[in-house]
Amino acid sequence: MAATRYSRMPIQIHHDDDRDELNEDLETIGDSRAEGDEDDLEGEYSEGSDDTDDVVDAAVQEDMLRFQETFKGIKDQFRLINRIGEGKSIDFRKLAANSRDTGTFSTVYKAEDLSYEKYHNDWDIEEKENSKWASPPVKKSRRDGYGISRPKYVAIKKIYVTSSPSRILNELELLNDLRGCDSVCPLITAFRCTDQVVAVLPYFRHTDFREYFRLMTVPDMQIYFRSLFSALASVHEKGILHRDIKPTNFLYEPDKRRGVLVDFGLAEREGTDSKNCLCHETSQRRRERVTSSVAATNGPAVGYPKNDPRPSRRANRAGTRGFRAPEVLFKCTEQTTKIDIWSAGVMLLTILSKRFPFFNSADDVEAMIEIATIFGRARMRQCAYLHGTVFATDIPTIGQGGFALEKIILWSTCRNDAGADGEEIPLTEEEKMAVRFLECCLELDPNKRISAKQALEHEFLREMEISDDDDDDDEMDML
Amino acid sequence: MSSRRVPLSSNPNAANSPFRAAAASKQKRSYATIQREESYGQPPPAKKQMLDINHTLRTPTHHQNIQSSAEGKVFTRKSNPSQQSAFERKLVAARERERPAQQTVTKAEKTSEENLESIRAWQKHTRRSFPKFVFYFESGSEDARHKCIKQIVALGAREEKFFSNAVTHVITTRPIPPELGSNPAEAVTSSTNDSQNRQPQTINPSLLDRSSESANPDACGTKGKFTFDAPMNRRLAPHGHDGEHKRHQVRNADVLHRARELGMKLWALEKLQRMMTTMFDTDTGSGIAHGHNTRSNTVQGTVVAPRANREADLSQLLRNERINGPSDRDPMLAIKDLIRFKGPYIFIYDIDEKQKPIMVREYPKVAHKEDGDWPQFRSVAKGKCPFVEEVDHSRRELEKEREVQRLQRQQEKEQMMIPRTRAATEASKMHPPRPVSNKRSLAEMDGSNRSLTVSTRQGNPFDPRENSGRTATEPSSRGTQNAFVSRAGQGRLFGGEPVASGVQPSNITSAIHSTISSTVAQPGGNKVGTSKEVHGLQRKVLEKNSGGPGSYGGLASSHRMTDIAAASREESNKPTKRRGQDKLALIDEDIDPSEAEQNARRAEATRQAEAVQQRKREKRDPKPGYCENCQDKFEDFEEHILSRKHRKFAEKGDNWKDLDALLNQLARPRREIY
Repeated sequence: MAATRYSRMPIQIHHDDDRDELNEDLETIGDSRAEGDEDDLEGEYSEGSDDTDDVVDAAVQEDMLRFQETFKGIKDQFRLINRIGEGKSIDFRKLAANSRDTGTFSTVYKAEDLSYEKYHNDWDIEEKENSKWASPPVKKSRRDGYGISRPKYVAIKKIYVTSSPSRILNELELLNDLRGCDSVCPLITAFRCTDQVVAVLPYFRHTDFREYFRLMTVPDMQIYFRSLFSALASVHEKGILHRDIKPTNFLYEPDKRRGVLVDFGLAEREGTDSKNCLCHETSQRRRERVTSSVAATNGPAVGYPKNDPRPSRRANRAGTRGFRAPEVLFKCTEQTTKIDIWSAGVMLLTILSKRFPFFNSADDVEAMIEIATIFGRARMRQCAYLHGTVFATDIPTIGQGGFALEKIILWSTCRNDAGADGEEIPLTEEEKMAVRFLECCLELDPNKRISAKQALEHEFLREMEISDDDDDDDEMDML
Repeated sequence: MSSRRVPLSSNPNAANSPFRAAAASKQKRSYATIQREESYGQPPPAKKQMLDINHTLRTPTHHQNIQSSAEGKVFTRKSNPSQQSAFERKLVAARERERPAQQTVTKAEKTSEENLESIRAWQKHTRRSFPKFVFYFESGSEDARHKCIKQIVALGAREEKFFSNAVTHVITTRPIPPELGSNPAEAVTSSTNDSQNRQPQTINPSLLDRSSESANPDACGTKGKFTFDAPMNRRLAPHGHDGEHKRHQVRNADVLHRARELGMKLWALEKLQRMMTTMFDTDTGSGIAHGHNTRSNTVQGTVVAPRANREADLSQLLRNERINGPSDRDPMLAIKDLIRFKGPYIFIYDIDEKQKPIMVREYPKVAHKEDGDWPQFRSVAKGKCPFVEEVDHSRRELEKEREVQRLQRQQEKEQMMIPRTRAATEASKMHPPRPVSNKRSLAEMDGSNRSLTVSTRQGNPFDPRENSGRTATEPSSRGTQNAFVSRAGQGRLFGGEPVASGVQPSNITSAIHSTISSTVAQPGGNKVGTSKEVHGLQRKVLEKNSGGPGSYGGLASSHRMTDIAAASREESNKPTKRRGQDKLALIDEDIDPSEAEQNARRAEATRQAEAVQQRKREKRDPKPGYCENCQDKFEDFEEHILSRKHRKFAEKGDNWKDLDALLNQLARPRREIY
């Protein structure tokens, strides 16, 4: 659809009326998510692409001044410019109740790197690119204007002092391990002043997801996801789960066609705290276990105990609602890097369906219902057994067979009856390819779900000769 | 068959769960159930097995000429206490007599057999005593041995590679010889005497036994897994006299007999494995859950009374069951505590039913599924979340109108501090998120009656033409509070007829709001442009509605609730940057330059005023949270981080040692030439 629709009416799109409306809707969404306990849409660096340095709110100004005062020495190295985002979770009220699931909390500032010249700056991809070839045409005039001594920007992540040293250590260690990985935000440095720890990261100019996702054509998606999946591939290769893959944590700049993965505040190494889960057994063994289980013997449940003294199953569920993989919802005790693939799949679903967020879930139960609505009871039940659980529901809107993702996309984009005489406008070939890829990512069984590395070999992401280059540029310029 | 009760062993429905009512599973049986029960309904073979086993075990005195399973059946049928037959009494008596013989069975095991209640106690006990144990694996496969060793080591015990005095427990897969001289039954005694007579035989008994075992592969199968001792005993049976004979013949040469003599405990490998399973609940993955154990134990207890509860006899058990309900369930989960699903539900629980449900929620019953509160696909405009309900356009108008009224009502209510939860809930349920905000913004910006019927899209709340004149005369400082004032005022008047108030907020200030709030990345969604009071009101509404999304079976739909939450937050944080700018642009186009300039100046003033206010508010509003370092909740972030406890942690170098080690590595590499 993207291709057809936008090639027909290219420029008007974002000036027309519903632009405004859409924007407002997104606002609602953004806000409602910020309310969520362990997650918020305002990821790090949630600032839009434009460099609005000049307008700094007084409160922020004050906050920054205080930060500079309390953190000795920072003034000499960096000039804080603005607050550009909050790390995990803004609302402290919610945190108190659910602190286990929350990640590192932080505030991110944009700052000028005053002593850039004094250091080796391997992290500076832009600089490298600029020296390799001329800057992209769009930015040329501006860059030239700055000359050699143009200011260098960094993002300073101030980790809240209430985070434990071990948690901070975890994040920094992972970031350090990931140094040099493709499309992963590199760590420039980090330092501490008593309990205040600060991480310095490159500042990436990027565009808010909400501004471009609706306008993406399939080739755009391919570029976007190639970047995302190569980041995931390198992260996963190190045995690290990001746990919080979502648009706000993937800073993408359409005109540069490059994205970086940020915020490893929830990341963990595969196998951390993990306990055997049935999903890692052979299917035969699993079948045995399931058929011999108490639940199987007992037959369907008709209720649940009121005062349940049994222990609850514990599993890491950190992440953002709506992006959690089914195994996270089923509290699988042996989660793998595949949970990130699911989240990336949700991103693709969002883009293909042009609905953000696609899953609105206020909590895990609703997330489960939403996923079940799509996949149907039968497959959910199978998925539940994978993790040694029973999925039982009689919610009438959760059908036995669910829906094909293709149908969902047609329906979401109102193409099922949008054609002449209410016919459906079928997916184009390239869209079908995207859906095939989507199906691989949104596979309920983590063992069967495509890995990041395999994904890069998938027809959807495989690099091909750049034939549609010109078209893309047009699309992107439009943004 | 005078018994009023069908013996549990022959009742397919005996296999009921700790969590469900037997009656219900009978009534509403879905096809899946029936199908399922066909395969599960039969008493598992294991259970039948138990009958035999138990008999052979418990009554070694009996010569094997009576078929034990037949015995079991007789026994069961005559379960009614009043009709206890002489035979039964004899059995019970025999059991009593036997008891000393059972001292061989470890204490730990006994407890585990007693009842489920004690299973935890048993675990604790076992864990305590294990470190003193030294195991010697006399036979059994390498694999099994390795697995067991790992487990017993984990429990603090150790394995001895060679048989010695240090060993406390001998693990074997062979039949376990009876305890020395402690068996009161004549048959055994006599055979013991026999074997003693034949002591000096040269045949290696273990070899014989093993070969007989391998000829009978079924013997070490999975049957009879319900009790620790069972399989071994089962194996005894087929051997009959012969096997016993051989065994006794060579007693002293055998490790097992040596062990007996040395007072070591003899355990069947399977028994150890089962103990381990029970100890390591989940990890062994063998699928034997508490419930399982329990149930089988109790079934046994009911059917073959001698086994499960040595003290209580059948009559007692049955009586208890009548009083307390079937005892084949975790006693902690009595049947009456089961909350039955009435409406549509989602229930996810672990297959072993050892843990709390992973998720469970029930929604109120509805006539049409579209009215259901759970997330479902809704037909909504493009771009919106497909799971969030949205009313169609024509209805939206109506909704909006109602929404305004609702807000008024609610506000009045809130002001009177009457907690009328129902109304609030109802109202919140009736209205989709978007209209709420739109309407609210309209009510805020434009008091005129007209606005009620004007869709947001048409009416531009920021349109300066509508009341720019008025605005000009308003003091700009008003902008900050009017959101509240205007709405409150309106609320009071609205009861009869909505009266346009002259004291309306200026459009421009509103537009400014948007610009400001968009540039301020404000935590908590508490944005500029809404007075704290308004916010408080909203929060109250939310609080009332929130039945607790996380709570079991919460009736309030968290789904809707969040929508409302979103909406109200949107209200407070209405404009995006872009939107704000758009509106400003509009103003610029429509107003003559001088006015625009004026507006701009005013806007600037307002902005500053608001910023000041904002800051104050921020300070007044402490951020509560949780400090991982002090492991303490706090009410005020700023205050907490200056507290003595926190400072103490912060300044203790030890706490930061590991992190510092990493930070040192992270130092920025200096450039040599600069």
